[in-house]
This record gives sequence, C-alpha cells and structure tokens, in this order.
Amino acid sequence: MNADIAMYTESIGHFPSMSRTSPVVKSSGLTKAEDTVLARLRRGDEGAFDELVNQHHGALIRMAMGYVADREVAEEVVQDTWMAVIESLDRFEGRSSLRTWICGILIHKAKDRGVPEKRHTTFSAFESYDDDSEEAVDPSRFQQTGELAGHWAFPPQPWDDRTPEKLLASRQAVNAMQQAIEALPTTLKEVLILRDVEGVDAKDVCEMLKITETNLYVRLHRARERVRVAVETAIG
Amino acid sequence: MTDSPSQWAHSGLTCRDLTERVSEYLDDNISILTKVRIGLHLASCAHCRTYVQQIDLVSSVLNSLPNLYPPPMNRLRLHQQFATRYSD
Ligand SMILES: [Zn+2]
Repeated sequence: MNADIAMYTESIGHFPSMSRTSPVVKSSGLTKAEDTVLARLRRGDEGAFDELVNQHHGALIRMAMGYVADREVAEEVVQDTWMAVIESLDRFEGRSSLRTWICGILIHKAKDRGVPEKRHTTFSAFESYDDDSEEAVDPSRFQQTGELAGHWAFPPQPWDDRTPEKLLASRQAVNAMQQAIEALPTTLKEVLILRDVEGVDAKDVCEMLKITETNLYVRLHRARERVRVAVETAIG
Repeated sequence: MTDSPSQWAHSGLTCRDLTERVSEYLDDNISILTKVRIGLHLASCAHCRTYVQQIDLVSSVLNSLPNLYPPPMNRLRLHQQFATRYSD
C-alpha cells in the first residue's frame, strides 16, 4: 500500500447524502452499519472481513473490467485492492464511507494496471461515448416533426413485472442487465457501478472521477438507458 | 390517463427533453423549476411515467445483481494476510 493511495482516497471528503437508497450517513462519513463493520475488522474479526468481501467483490470486478483486458486481470486488480484495504484499514479515518474508500483504491489500482492493456483492445470503437452532448435515448424514438415533435413516437411499453423482486426473478432480464453493463464503455460503467451498484453518493462519485455533476448525470443516465433498453429488448 | 399534448406543451418540456433529465430528477438534484415542469409533464404523459418508472426500477435493482466471489486461493491469501495483520 503506498501513501499515494491513502492520500488519494482519504481526500474524498464527506458530503450530505442525497441518495434515494443510501442509508443515513453520520458526520464521520460512515454509516452506523459501516462503523460496526470497521470496529469488527479492526478487532481482527474474519467473519466481518468475509462479509465485506462478499458484499463488494462483484461490483469491484465489474468495475475493474472497465479498465483491464479480461476477468483474470480484473481478479488480480481486485485482489490487490483487498490487500491494500487490509494493509491500510487501521489508517482509514472514515472521512468517506467505507465503500467509497474501497472503490477509490480499486479505481487507482485498475487505472495503474489497466489503461494500456485496454487501449490495445477494440476499445476505440466506443470513442463516441466521450461526447457528453449525445442524447441518452435514441432520438429516432421521438416524433421528428410537426406539432408533436419531441413527443414519443415509439414509447416504452409498460413491463408487467414491475417490482424489483419480479424483475430480478427473471433470468432473461438479469442476464440482459449483466451483459449491458459489461458492454458499457469505461466512462459509463464506472459511474453506473459506483452510483447504482455500490450506492456511492453523487458528489462522492464526482470527486472520485474528477467530473462535474452535469457530466455525472449525463453519463449515469446514458448508462441506465442502455441497461433499460437491454431489459426492454429481453422482456418487452 | 391518455396523453394530452396541450398540457404536455404547457410544461414547456417535450418527452425528449424530459427523458434526458430523469436521473437528476430521481436523485432530486434539479432546480425546483425543472422539478415542477417535469411534474407537470408527467401528470399528463403516461409514456414518460412509464419511462421514469423503468429507469427507477433498473437503477434500484442493480445493487442486487448476482454476486461474484474471489477464487478460493485468493480468498485464502486474503484471510492469511488479514489474520497476520490484525491478530494480537
Ligand atoms: Zn412525455
């Protein structure tokens, strides 16, 4: 664990929670649950460590896959991340949430490790995503001319299974979502995973990725729309 | 409720405009004016209501996707490291 990472990740300050889903965040930056977990971890509670790994490993792998060439390298990057977490747990000051801190370490390690490898893949095929002015929703789904220009021409059809539980019970829908996330370019993938999979606060995501809130929402919405379209195609 | 272009026009937002703002809207991270305009539009546009529900649904299930776990050897090494570091 080098000092750079500790400084980088600890520099992410606390911001008031704006999330619909995030638990209440105390002034320290840690939720009460995280506070408890941290205390257990520092006592050497291996069960707590297992829970931490189980809770975040999937999101870390999915995010690492945005930077590196394959799953194997992603596992190595995430393993390095966990090692760094173990190494610096007792220096973690809790100014950001635990998950924000862990994600920050992952991004740091994945960028160190991954960018050159990823550049050599077909990644450049996604260059257009960098244009944040592009619309999230396919413009051809709207009326192009006349009084109703800008109104839906091909509106979304309501999904019968409207609850989260029912959507998650659909293997087709879950596969479609996973494939859609995997196919996202890195800039979209990282915001989607940080915000929706890990539940990091919007302002913390901006801080971690050094992007403005406007950028965040453009990218987040574009990513969510791609996942929505994947579900729409799978179950619609 | 059926679509009502007259009311929808009244909000000053087209469906196309609205769809671009949905994630900020769901995070309640928009100006009060935009929020009111979106609310007005949604009140008269079933398609956009469906769209907002679907984005909300998708974003809320993403933290429940099937989990992934480290390979057993990796987990074993993590445990060894953890035990070494934090045992008294
Ligand atoms: Zn509409």
